[in-house]
Amino acid sequence: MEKLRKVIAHEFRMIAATKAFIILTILGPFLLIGMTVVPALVSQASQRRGIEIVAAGIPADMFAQVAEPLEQLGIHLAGSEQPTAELERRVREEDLYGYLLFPDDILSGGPLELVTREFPDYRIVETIKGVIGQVVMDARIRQAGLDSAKIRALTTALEIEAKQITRGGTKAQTDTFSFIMIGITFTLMLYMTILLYGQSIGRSVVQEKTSKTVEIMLSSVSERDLLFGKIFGQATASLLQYAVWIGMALLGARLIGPGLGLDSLPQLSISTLLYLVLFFLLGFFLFAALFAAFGAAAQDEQNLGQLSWPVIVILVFPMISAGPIITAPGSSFSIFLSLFPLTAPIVMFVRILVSDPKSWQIGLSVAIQLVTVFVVILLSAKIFRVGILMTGKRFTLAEVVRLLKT
Amino acid sequence: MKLQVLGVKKRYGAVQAVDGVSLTASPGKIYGLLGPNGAGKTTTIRMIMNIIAPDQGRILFDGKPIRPGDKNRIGYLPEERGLYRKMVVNDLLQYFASLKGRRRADIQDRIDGWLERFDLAEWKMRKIEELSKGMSQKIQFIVSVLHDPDILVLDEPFAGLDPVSTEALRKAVLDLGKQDKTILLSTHIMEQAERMCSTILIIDHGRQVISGTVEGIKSRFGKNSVVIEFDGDSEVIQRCDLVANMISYPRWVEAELIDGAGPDELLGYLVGKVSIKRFEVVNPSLHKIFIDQLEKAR
Repeated sequence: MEKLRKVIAHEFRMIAATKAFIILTILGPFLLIGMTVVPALVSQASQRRGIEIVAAGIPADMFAQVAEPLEQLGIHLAGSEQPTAELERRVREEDLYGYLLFPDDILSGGPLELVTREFPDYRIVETIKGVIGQVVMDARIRQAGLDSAKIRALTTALEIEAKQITRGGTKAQTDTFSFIMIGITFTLMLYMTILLYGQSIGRSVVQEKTSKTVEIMLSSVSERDLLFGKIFGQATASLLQYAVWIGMALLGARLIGPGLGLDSLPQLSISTLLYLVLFFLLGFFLFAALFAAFGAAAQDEQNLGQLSWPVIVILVFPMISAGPIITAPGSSFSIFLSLFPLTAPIVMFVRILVSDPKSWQIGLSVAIQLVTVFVVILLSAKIFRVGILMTGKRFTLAEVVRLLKT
Repeated sequence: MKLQVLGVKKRYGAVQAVDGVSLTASPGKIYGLLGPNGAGKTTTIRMIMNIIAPDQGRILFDGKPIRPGDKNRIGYLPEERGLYRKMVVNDLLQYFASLKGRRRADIQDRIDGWLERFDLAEWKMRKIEELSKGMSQKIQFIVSVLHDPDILVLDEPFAGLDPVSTEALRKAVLDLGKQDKTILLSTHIMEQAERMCSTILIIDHGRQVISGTVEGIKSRFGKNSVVIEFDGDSEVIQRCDLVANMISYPRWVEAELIDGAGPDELLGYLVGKVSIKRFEVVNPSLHKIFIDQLEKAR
């Protein structure tokens, strides 16, 4: 155990004490903000700058009703008596963003033409449609001799308030949309983490062979200690980076979130949060162990990539089958995937989110995953030991399976 | 600590890499494991180091199979050299010593001493990747001896070293031998083994060819051999009926005479045919015995 602790500490330092790691840990959140918030701000700014559209043939009363709301939404609408040829010239010369051509039969369904130079921004189209459409509809209702306010009140859509009975007996209001968002975020986070850090653990195992340090290491520690040490040391470094990022994100959301008009984070119950952490860790260690196994079998990094594609496929599978799992979390398909170790971390968590699975299923799923992590690491150690002798030889997947049987 | 290898065998697919090798290495002695490339030296050493398991046979440390604590008492210089390239020399040495159960504070003096001895003191705080190949090889040797092991296993320790480093390393190994360490050294350079080892084992195709003390082997195979340095055509010597076989270079031969022939007869034959610079009756060199025995075995 003493040696294992030293290997873990060493592997942790090898990752966490590098300049690249420290810089990425500190700058990561800013990069992320740069990638997500800045484009949104830029596009907001471009919308706020306002564009000019000329409306040809618009009835005066309608112009009075739409100009003001459109102006507030960043579209300056101007009436014009100019012929369409002249308007076309102005659009072509970028004097105007575009022009609207109102048909005489607009109240009986005639289409409104929008002529622009560039492919029109969908937000502009939607804004125009929303504002002018409402006014046109009101006019049609009035034309038919009805009260538009009354009609609008009568045609209000039905709202459904979904409530769920949990085993605890309490009723919780469920918001399916936010659950799906949490599920997707969790899956994406796990997916990205595994791709980022899992692969790097696989690479580090390969490097132990390519840099030929493996024999010295094995003359001091067992191959199990070496692999456990690598996986846990590097995983700890990765999780530390994650913790820093999440901490900074929460702090940032509290400090500058309101200023940016971001809504508060979705409210998660403590138990959901604990499950999130638990399944995230299980999934992470499971795939890290798998990558270590492939690293042990791979001859070089290129070979590692070739060997590990099935892992990526397995990882994507729960994302593809998210629909059936969310709509039928209690089906035998969902239960199977929540117990099968390679899909369990994601599927079990999603099932817990959208339903209330039996406790034994959760317990079994966790137990299966834990056992799998250890078995995979032990197998990696075995492959690793055999793989050392096969210097210069590349493995196919079939050969790896054969190695495991010997 | 005594190291015994008893009839170990290892097979890889169709190749019998090691076929019944036995040896006993004792404290204070340098044991040479010799053989051409691919003879099974490294496989034997990996089995001793418990990196691969033998198919048959036993490996004993002080009469017992390896126990977990024994790894701390063994130092190993593998044939495949490699160090963590991104690490600072001092940290790397600390790390490897700590994996052998040494405390960091206790080991620093030894690190400084060894770096000094190999002229590497100024590289202490540099990264491994900045070192030349010879330097990292010396670091690797330091890794194998830093924790003061009782048994030292060196696989081709001199391969790729320049003469100055070779000499420094040779002295270090001899000193460790004097400190009652058990040293097992593999090499394919016979002259080195002859000068350093007290006992040797020559293997070929995984099988033992010759074993024993260097002196014993030399006297056992010590028929009448002569070394001749000369100017002229070595073919002349080759053609002489008195010569059973020989190792020849353009101006130097080591010749074994046929039974019953004396050196004087050969000298008489050569006079006037080549210009003799040196003519010496010798025990055959290990190199010659090695080549002869390999040819016989094959």
